[in-house]
Amino acid sequence: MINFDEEIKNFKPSLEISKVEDAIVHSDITDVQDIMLEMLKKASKE
Amino acid sequence: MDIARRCAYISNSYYNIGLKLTREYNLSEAADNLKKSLQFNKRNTDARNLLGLIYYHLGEISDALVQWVLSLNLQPYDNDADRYLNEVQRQPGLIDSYGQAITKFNQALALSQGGTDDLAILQLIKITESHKTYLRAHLLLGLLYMEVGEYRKSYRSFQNALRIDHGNTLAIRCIDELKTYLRESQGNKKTLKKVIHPEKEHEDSDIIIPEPLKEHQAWQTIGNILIGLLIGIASVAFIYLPVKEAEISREYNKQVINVSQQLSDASKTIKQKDEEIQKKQDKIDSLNSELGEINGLNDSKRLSLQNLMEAMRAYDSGNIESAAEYFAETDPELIDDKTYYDQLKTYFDDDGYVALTHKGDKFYEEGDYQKAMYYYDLSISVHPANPVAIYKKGLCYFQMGDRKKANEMFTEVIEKYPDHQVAEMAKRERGF
Repeated sequence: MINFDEEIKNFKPSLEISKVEDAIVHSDITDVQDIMLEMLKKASKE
Repeated sequence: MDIARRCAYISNSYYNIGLKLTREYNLSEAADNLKKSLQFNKRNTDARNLLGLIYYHLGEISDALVQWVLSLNLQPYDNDADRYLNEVQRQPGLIDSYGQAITKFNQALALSQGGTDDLAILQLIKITESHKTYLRAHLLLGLLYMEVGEYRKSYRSFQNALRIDHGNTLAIRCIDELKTYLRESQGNKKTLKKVIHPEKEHEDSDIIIPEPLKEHQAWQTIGNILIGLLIGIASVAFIYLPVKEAEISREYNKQVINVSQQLSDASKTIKQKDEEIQKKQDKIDSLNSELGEINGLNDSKRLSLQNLMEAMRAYDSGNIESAAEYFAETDPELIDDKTYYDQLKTYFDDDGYVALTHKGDKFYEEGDYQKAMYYYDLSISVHPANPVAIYKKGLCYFQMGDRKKANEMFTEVIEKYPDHQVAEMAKRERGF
């Protein structure tokens, strides 16, 4: 049975046009490659 | 294989899946795959641009702009994102329109989370009408319809959502839920079909025809108004007017009957009057005839008959004084047929003498004792046993200074009518 309240909670507000700039600036675009490289760097230092 | 190449390989694999799903319009799943692709390689420009396109198609233009701007930052040259951004900016009002839709959606979401479902539904209806591919608006509207029990509309909203995003899990789940719920709660396949296939009612005769939502066109509205007017006119012509006509006819007949009745009554009255006139004319003719017969008789008898005839004539014309005068001069002993004499005598004995006395009273009160005495004399002449008129005649003499004759009148009353009430008054006048 669908729980209306639960389903509604899953809905997040859409990103407003006025907040696009902030969203771009604060975007976390770190990918797996970055993480792996970071991990390799840390490992080589140790 | 180094890490970079391995990540690029995985990223491309996800991108390929995402692209395939996008071509199948399974957009939610495609977006998930493209996000995974970007998690492995943020520089996968095609994946990011496609993700932006999917967001744009689903009405989430802000998210699309974010992806395209990032894409352009990561690969400033030879990037389709540049073209997409130019396209969007080139269309006047496009961003504003999407921005307003997003704002309204957020308001509707806040309203629905606050329990104000009706207002949220109204807001979402407007959004879905102006932005038909705004997926989340359709989904939220479907959920709200389901919540308020509008299952058919809910089903339609989720169907719209599926038309935009063929693999949307929420829409599929809700449609399944709707089917199950209706089957269990109502156990009525027809109702269920009506909810699920409202547009196929003409193909299946077993399905109850639902109320289709018609989009009225102007000519249909005008046609409906004209039909309504025609029905109204026909109602007046065939129902109201005959009833009114019958009512007027009944009223007219009633008036005709009344007038006829009045005419009939008037005719009867005229007939009665005519009969009375005829009777009186017969009396006069009879008396004239009698008079003719006795022309040869002595003068006294002829005079009495003439007096009686004049008395009758005066009585018929309402001249009581004249009738009384002639009647008093009539000698009944000289008349053989006393029919008319007795008729007049009955009148004067019953009412006539009283009327004459009252006329005398009127003149007495005015101080005209001569005229008063004239009427009292007439009253006494037609009805001699008349103590009141005799007493009043005595009063007239008294007022005129003839004390002797006054006393004669009073004495007559006292002697002839000692028990009458005027006798006491007469005694007082005499000083007894």
